[in-house]
Amino acid sequence: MISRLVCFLGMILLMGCGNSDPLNRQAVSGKITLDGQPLNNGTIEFTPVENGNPSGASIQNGEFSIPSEKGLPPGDYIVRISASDPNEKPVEAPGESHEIAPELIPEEYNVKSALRFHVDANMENVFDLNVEKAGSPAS
Amino acid sequence: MAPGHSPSRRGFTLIELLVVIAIIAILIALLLPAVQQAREAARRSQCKNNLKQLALGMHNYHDVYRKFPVGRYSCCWGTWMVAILPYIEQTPLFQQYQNSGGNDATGPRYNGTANLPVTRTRLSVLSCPSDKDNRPFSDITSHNYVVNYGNTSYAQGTVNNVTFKGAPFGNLKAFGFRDIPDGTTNTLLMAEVLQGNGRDLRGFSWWGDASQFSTYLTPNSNLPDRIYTSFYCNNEPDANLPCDVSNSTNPTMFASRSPHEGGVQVALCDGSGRFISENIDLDTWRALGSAKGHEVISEF
Repeated sequence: MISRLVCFLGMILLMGCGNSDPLNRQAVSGKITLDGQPLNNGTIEFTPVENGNPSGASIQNGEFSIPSEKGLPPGDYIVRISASDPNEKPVEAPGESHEIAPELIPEEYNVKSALRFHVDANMENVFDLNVEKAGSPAS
Repeated sequence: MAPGHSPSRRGFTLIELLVVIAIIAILIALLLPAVQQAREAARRSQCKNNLKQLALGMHNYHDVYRKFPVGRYSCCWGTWMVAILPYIEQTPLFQQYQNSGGNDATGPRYNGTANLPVTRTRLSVLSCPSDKDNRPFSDITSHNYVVNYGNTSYAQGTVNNVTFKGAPFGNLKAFGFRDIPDGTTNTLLMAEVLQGNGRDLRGFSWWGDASQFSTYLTPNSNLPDRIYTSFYCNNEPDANLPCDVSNSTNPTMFASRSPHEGGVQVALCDGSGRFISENIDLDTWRALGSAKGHEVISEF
């Protein structure tokens, strides 16, 4: 009797745990290096080649990972990598802010990116890249 | 009745008592999440109502001046938030605010002593009840609703080959319905944002940069908002608050973010309030942001 009740209670608690995602978003992770060294701070951006859902993540110590709930539906993506020169300006009250940090990564990797990445369903999606400061991307 | 024979008084057994307690526990377990959900639903409709009120205020402003307010004046001499005050029943605050519009560079800024009584005020119509109450700097309040700066960034230039296609708000400029050829039903007016934690400047809408959002980033994006210095930018992706420093390829920009599950609430230029899924197509979201893109917008 009691064990049946416990079972029933357990089933009620488990109700609503099913997670259905119509977009079938996939987790993506990888390692990004700059001239062989892990890229300290930056951002990786995946923009769909066709219309769709973009995503991305911060790169920290050369690694990034996009969790599946914020991930990418299967398809083809343009990859962009961006990082800022870490020089800090003296901090004052927030006012005019037209001064912005220069881009560290060559434009072949962001504005003019020809990097493509294909996201597959039901397999591990890993994107590793070495950024060369002078020169075009290897892939 | 025979003497010495008391009537049978049957009590509850331990098992019966446990069963009753278990049933009550199950009922409470079912009810509690429902109560929490009802409370969140109430906060959510309050939040949408605030957006509707602000959109009405914008329309009343437009009736008077034939234009929406200027998005932001130079430096730190006021944003649309000051201009809208008389239209959200805050005329005394408006009269107290000095030097709005930057007509005097030596006059007080939003953080000047004369303006602090205004900018330290928390306005409930500008606060989403589901979010926190942050004061990032000098005890000045952050709020939750910002205006639409179009489909790229705060500077309204090209970002990663996405060209700017008009917006209902901008720096130093005021636009009206005539500047929205895409149609008021197809263009965003305002949207909600999350306030940052600590000194993070997101939602700090008395100040220029944080008084706006753009649609380069999709709602609740995992890509970071861009703030001009890392000192005022806490990267918290798990709290739906990813942040990075602005740079020349990714200039200052803010995504619309929401404490509500699954999407963000927006007001369109026609004054209606809408809930928009965070799974919205990129092209549709950017088309909603632009005022002069001439895009065909599918169902959203």
